Amino acid sequence: MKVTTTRRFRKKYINTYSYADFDNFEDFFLYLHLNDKVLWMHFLGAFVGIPFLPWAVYHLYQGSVWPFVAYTALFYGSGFSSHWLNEGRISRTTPDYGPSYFYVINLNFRLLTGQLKPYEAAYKEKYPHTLWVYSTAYPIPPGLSQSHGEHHGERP
Amino acid sequence: MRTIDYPRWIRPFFGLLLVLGFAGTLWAPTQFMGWGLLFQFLFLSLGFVCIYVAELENDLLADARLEIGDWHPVITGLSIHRTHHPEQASTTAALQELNRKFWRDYLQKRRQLLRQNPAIQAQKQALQPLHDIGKRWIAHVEGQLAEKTLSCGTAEAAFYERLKAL
Repeated sequence: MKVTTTRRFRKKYINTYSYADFDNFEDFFLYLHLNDKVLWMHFLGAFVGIPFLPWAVYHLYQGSVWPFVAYTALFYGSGFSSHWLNEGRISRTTPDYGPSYFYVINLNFRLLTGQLKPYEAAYKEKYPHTLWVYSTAYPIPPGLSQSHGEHHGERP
Repeated sequence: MRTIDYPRWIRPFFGLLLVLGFAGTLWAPTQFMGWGLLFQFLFLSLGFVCIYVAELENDLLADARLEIGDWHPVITGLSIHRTHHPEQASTTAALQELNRKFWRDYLQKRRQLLRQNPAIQAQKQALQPLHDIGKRWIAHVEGQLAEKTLSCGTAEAAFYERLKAL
């Protein structure tokens, strides 16, 4: 989804919700990747990086590590850095590396095939109360806005 | 099973990747790119598998919910309660964590029982105690949410212990 809150705001509040706030890891993973820019950075890193894997592995085998370092930086770096650049946070799902890999492939493929919109629409229907983190169109929960001195529509 | 309506260009695109990749591997100057395109084909093919497995998992979850009633409102209810009542945030967070563990173990136990009892009639009998505790847990948490006063103590832990003991 196209985000309308600021990076500083998301940095502060994205951790409001954790795994226990969702039905399963898949929904939690999608929550952390709702930002279009984050998704596209994951997708481009994987899509552009993969064709260079045989070339990088060949050079690694020949004793030159730099092509493999560059490949790794492109493939993994784009995904990891997307969270920092867009949300001001490092990836939160690294302890669950296997499921993360599974669901990031899932998201990349949905993005490629135009299946992301219905997937996000289903998420929005299930978890409308979490969307305030990404969109100013949704009110900040009263408990948080009182405790942090912030009000509806104002995003620091 | 929900069917995914993939766009028409997907099959030709995959075919093109496969043909170009294979052709590329036959000629030395394009060998790496050929292998690269074949890797791209394999990587993207994983996408089909991942989406299929994820949909299957969702269907299994939906089946489990049909048996005892949807517990999604419990999860979202706790989530909303925690952000609306900061004075109860730590208790709610503890209850949410217990709730997450409860449903994780519930689904594991359900799968285990279904595997152990392939006959449908035997499945119904074997799952009955599990269904009872699941329904009671939903009613217990929904009752707390309705009263807007949550607790996560020995009574709640006892539910989880009973589930583990099944």
